[in-house]
Amino acid sequence: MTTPDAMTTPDAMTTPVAMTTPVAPPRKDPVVLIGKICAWLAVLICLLPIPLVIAVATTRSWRQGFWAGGFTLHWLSEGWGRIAGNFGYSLQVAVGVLLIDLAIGFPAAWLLARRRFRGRRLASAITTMPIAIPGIALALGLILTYPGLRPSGMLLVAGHVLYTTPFLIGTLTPALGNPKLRELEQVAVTLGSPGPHRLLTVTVPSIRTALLAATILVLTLSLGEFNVSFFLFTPIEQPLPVELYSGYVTNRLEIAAASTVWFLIMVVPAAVVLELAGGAKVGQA
Amino acid sequence: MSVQLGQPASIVCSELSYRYPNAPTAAVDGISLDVGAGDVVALVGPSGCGKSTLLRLVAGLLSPVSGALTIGDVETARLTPEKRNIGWVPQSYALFDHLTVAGNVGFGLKARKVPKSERADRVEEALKLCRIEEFADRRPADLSGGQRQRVAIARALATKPRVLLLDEPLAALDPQLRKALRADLAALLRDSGVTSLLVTHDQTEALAMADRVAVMRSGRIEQYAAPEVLWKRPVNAFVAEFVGAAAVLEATKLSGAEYELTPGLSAVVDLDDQADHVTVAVRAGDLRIDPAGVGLRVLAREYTGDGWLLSGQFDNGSTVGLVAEDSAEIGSTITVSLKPGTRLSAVQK
Repeated sequence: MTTPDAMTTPDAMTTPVAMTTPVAPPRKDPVVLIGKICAWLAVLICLLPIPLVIAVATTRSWRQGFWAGGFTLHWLSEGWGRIAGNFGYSLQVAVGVLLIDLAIGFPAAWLLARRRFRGRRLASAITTMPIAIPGIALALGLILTYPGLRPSGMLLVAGHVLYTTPFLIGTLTPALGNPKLRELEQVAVTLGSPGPHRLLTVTVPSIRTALLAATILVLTLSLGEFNVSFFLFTPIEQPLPVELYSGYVTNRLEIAAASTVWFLIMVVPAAVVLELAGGAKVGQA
Repeated sequence: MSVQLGQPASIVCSELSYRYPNAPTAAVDGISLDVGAGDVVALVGPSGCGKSTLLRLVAGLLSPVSGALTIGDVETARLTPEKRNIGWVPQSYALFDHLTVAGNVGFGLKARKVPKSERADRVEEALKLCRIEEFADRRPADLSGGQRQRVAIARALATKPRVLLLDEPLAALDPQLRKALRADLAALLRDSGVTSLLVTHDQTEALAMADRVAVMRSGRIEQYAAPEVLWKRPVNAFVAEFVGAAAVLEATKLSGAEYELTPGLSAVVDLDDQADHVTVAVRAGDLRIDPAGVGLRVLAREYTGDGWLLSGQFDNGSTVGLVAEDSAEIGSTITVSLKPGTRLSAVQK
């Protein structure tokens, strides 16, 4: 008979070895360092146009250089006057597109996430295909197929729906397929919750993060979409990106820059909310 | 305390089968099981034995390919889960994080359009039964594992189910907490008075909590009996080994009911029909260190806190385990005998 080894040498378990031996700080990995530098350079390159546009929009006369002739809010005021109507129209289109996207995309995402059916992979590929098709091709395809709808502006909405629905489906499908959500729904079923009640009280609240992200994504994509809008807009009303383009072509640079600043003010907060809502993780319920 | 929330119902499964799509074998293979009204029954078995599938069949979350299921007097196999009047507690508890504890407990009542005043009373009753009244306004994220478990059970009981189904109710808890909450959960189930069918892979939990235990293997029930019967009279080697980790040895008849396990070591075996050679189950608690006993070469040792669990081999090659106060060197030989009065169970191979 013996006693356990561990019990004969209790000191080995309790002596604070780490406290008596100074530990050298870990050496910085050069690969990580280079990566960090590249990442910050990329961020800088992406962000640089923003202060530049703000500088142009607040300079009295940009041709003479930064803030030559002094700082002014005049161009911003004039820019807002020019794009306010277009912004209202674009917002209307975006909200309409969102409602249609939800009506089409939610059931489609549910089907793709929950059902194993023949041709499911093909259906999944088709729903994401518009992302890979250039906006010009989408727009021309719509014009050729439904020429009669163009004057009503419905073709513009249809083009935006085609362009944005894949993003909505792509955001909602993983959330709806989450096994945790399915378990919550199963519990709800056993508690006597019928389908519509379950959808409204369990499914939708559980995927609220993904739903919020999808909503913001669709709104910002529609507000900022240029290619499809440029080919499908009607002479009566121009979407915001088309007006911005027109401003850069025909107006003073300062006014066009001021319009861009207003556009950024509308879009950047939404992008920040999108990131706060989960960013890359929006697919998780 | 005896608070009865629902009228308990019996569960009768007759030749119930289920096969997952594209699976080569049935997950539940013609199971017949009779659970009495108000009983607590545990389904126990190794991973993949079909116990959770059987529970989901009773819940209606899966539809059987054949067989019948009756809850109370109602043929239930083709009813949707919401019409079965059951309570379901999944392993993760699946609490609704966007609702408070009271909101969770009242969810089923709201779904069934129970009037608001009655709903409040029944939520309070369920919270009280599960001793979680003080957490009524908290969110599930602010609760401990044990509290979450109680909320899940309260939510299931609030609708006055005829049957409560629990899938690994203690598995999501820390090991220390699990043991402490085991007795608590058993008392809660008895207080509720509801028929309970619970799944566990832990035979200790099953024996401690259930009135009857069904030991499952490969989609079938190997033995369905009270815990004492399972322990003392396992029907076969699988049940003996799974319930209590018994060693299964060949024994040869000496005289009457006395059988020899290895030269120098014999025991009385409970047998209906006397045979010359039988297979018996020997548990670690049946053996003791005895200077006058037979030699056992130590193969492994494990410190359990209260003592040592030694496993060793007799000269005839049979391996057994025993609990000892002191350890022994691996490879050394100790001498053991059966504890006085030990009666071994004969099992089928």
